[in-house]
Amino acid sequence: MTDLVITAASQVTPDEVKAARLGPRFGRLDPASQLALLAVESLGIEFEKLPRERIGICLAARAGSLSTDVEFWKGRDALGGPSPTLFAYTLPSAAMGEIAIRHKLMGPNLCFTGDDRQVLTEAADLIRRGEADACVCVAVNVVSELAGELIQTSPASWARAIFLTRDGAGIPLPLEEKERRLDSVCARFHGQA
Amino acid sequence: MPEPAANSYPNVAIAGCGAISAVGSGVAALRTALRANASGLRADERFAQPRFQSNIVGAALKAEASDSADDPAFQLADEALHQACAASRESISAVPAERIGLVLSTTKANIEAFERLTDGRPCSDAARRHLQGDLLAADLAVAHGARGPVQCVSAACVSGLIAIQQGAKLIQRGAVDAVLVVGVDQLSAFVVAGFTALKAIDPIGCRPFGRDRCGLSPGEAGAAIVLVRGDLAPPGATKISGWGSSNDANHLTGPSRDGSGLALAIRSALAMAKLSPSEIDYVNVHGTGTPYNDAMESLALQTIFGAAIPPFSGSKGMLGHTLGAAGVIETILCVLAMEEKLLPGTPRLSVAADGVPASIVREPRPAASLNRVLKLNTGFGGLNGALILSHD
Repeated sequence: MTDLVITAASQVTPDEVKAARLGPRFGRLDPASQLALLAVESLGIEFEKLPRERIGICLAARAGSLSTDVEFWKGRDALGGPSPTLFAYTLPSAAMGEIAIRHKLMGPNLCFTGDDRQVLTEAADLIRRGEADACVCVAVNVVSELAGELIQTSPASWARAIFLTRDGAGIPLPLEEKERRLDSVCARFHGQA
Repeated sequence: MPEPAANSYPNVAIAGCGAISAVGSGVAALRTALRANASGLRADERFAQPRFQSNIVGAALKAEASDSADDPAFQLADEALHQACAASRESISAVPAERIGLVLSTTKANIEAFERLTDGRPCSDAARRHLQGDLLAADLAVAHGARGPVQCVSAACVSGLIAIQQGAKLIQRGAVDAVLVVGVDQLSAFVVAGFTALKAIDPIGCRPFGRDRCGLSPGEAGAAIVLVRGDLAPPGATKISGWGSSNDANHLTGPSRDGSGLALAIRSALAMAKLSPSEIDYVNVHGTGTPYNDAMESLALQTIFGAAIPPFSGSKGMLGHTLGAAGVIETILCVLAMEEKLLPGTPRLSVAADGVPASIVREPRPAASLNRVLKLNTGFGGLNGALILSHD
């Protein structure tokens, strides 16, 4: 069995997004992509030093793209129709594409909607099967007021990220030993700690 | 860096399929369309100009008129699952419910409920619940007696191929003995308006790899495949031999111009299946009919196969682009082609564009050998997927 190591973990909120400076495109992204990108940026991984064809991305979008769907559909009666730019973000996997573009990550991609507990399981499986050497794991949840009314849930916005790698893959391990413990990091990833 | 690991896990095979699409309900309808190189694209008054770019779409031919239904995603998926489970009854009847999983592939789940709620029209609680793909998946699992793990994959137009690989992985790592893989997306004003905004729809219907191609045709489908551990499969069943996925890391809505991302996914699939490119008998491509997609796929094929590109064709002129269902229903077409030993054609292709490899199949024709098939899909977000099907 391949030994897996968590080298970094992060969690971000919309307030941190407002203060973030991640280049000219960042402000044009939808909220889920902004949160996910910032969470990955906060991992502090120097991706350019790693074999980027061997790094996968595994993402869970708890409420899919519903909040962006609402914004896109507001333009349905506008002259010229709804925004083509927003349409690209009406896919839950758009945030995964933005992460890949920013960090030039070309490895395997997985994207789920709903429960984010499967993200770490599936990322670990990708590595253990040899399909990737490491995996960026992201859970993102964006529920605006209007989206919350549609699915009868409370508004929420956050993103969490973890960098999971195969031990011995040559990737630096900046976290302290106790911080790398799988149960501790997983609990934080799932919002239980 | 190590190469991707070769597949040393238990075999996974396809025990049965089901589909409802623009060419009708049932695998027999799909088989008939495959033999005839038929197109199910037709005018649909719901998508008239000028609000929409074209009214030529691939609307599913439903068994009963159901225009008033508020939960078409569940209906399409449910019908496809009924067919697939019936076709695989001998393989799964003895499998305990908790050893059967379900993986749903969808991009927009029940978008009909979204349109109704935002327009202030009536919508049932169940239809509202199915706005969320994971809850749609959970309810489909209950309806079809799958009490094992349930996942909802939403990876743009590669969702179907990734759902199939997820199903295979669940079996290979021993979590379950069978997985119901179901792909579904419905035609909706939301999606057609989105592609209209991108100016991505061909006004007269898609013409994949055609000289004058200028866009896709939206479609809808429910498609289901029952995957089982190899020892539960019927004799001669098609096996899932390998897969790969990758990201272009280039652009959110446009494919990379050189096809390198798709080539990476194909290489991963070949390595897992322990096959060389020369052992592939046929490729079923994504083939949306947009200028950039088809050109990129041609380059990816040249990168992998060099001058010896195997026969290839695309199926979206038959079905339209069925989004989250595409990978599943197009895989079913590949299974039927392997059973029939028939190379599928490329419906609605008349004059091929310059640069399209000569091995493109325009009309169906018998194949001397059709035992190793490569299925490809690509999607927004730079996503690429490859799947290899095989017969012994």
